[in-house]
Amino acid sequence: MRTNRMVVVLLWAVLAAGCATKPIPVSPEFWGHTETKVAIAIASLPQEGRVYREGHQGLLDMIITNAMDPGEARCARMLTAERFANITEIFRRELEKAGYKCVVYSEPIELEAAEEVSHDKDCFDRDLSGVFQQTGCDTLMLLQLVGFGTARTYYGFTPQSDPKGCAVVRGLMIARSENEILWDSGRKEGMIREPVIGPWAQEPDYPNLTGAVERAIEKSKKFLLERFFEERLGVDALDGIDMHAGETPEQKKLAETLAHYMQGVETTSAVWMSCSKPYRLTQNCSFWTGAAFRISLDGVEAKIAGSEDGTVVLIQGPKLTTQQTWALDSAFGAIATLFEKHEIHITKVVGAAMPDGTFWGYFLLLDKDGYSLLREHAVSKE
Amino acid sequence: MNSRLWAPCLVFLSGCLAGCGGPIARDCRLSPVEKTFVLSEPYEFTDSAGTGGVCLLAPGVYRCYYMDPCGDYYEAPFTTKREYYFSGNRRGGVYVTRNEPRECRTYVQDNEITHYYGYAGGGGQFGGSGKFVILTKLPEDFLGLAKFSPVQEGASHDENQ
Repeated sequence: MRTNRMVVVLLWAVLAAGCATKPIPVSPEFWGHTETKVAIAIASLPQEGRVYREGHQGLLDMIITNAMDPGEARCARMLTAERFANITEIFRRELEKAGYKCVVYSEPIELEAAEEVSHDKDCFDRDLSGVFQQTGCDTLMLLQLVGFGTARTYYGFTPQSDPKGCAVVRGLMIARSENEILWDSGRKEGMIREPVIGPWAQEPDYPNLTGAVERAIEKSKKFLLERFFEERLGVDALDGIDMHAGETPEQKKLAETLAHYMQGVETTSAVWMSCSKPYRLTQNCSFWTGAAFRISLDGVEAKIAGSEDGTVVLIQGPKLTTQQTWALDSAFGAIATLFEKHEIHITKVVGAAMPDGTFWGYFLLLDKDGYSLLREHAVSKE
Repeated sequence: MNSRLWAPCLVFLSGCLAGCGGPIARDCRLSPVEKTFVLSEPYEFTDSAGTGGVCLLAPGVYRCYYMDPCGDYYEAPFTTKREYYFSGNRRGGVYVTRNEPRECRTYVQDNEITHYYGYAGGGGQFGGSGKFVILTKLPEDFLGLAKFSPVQEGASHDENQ
């Protein structure tokens, strides 16, 4: 049943892409008539998150990927969109600052239940006269979270990327007379993607992926505000947008540590480096893999190599073959915290960068021997 | 580790740049500090990493949400005005390195529309990796025109809210 529903959703998405509307900017005349009374409402929110599969997929591929039920689908089904609801209050505040009288319509509008009235491309196709009557307003601002969940690129049934957080929004302003559309943020434009910070496949709750979805929803509010107000948007208008939504305490602490130490990281090419350059590493440096001594600090694993006097340390993530960014950052954070406790100062950080720009390791230059301290946290033989 | 072993790779990778420069896709982290800069006028630059044409950055508030080891990502305001470089579906902003002398480059979030070759029929479909791709270096006068908010050392986003 779920497979059938997904197929229908995907077919609908393909068809909808073909008849997407172009954005309609707010008319300058609107900004000249502050006596206009504006009702602000949201459309009913989606009940649960959705998986957006992108890329080259045929029907058979869709069926296979649905049957596999990868983790992002389980995560998407656990999500709710409640955090979108305060968009009405943010719009009200900004419109009132601009001099308009506003009424927030408290009930989400069920667009599917509203009667269909028009197929004119410049007019809204649902009868919302009840809302106009109840609020006594001239215009209705209708803000819609069309969908939200995870987005991932596929080729056939093979994932080509990690999942991202995703939100799709559309904003409309509709005139009471003739249902004329006075502003439309566009159907295609309002698709927001947010990268996952750290690993995503964290069963059972998927905190990092959930956080990315929450940030995507927050950024969708920012999108609507900026699309409507454009250059009229106040500097503090976006203060209510929580771009750190879903951030875990570990992410927050690590970001602070990285920001503290990485005030301009110098880089060296990982392609050219060896055990003798750019720094001479005589302790636990491997001809093949670089750092070879495995340590564990409060559950964070890393591999290290060091100079003779221990004042230069090369750190790498625990595995050579997998995506290393988060593992390497975590290792850096744990080691920097340990050094802080022992008053060993990191005087310089040099990143060993791969040609694609990802960091393969960090050289830490220290004011005293820190390598001996790290070796006390060994988890395996050299 | 031995540089001689890497030599064959270099043949394939010679066009790429390592480190903190070059058109590369980056993995980002959330920035712990609220930072912004304001452009009061549209800024004109030559899109040397793209079409080579003259482009405009929109005036407005550019907000830093993300960082990486080399610098910070300031997101350009969303706009409908097609004359600006970041408008419509092209999302991104300005990447500012922390090393002195600081360097500013445009970045785009990889959100390109991919085509749908499925058996269910054709049609446009959104795609892209969502990663940040760093592109054109902006002239040095950009740093003078962008009014950066003072960095509050140790000020986390929680304290600012």
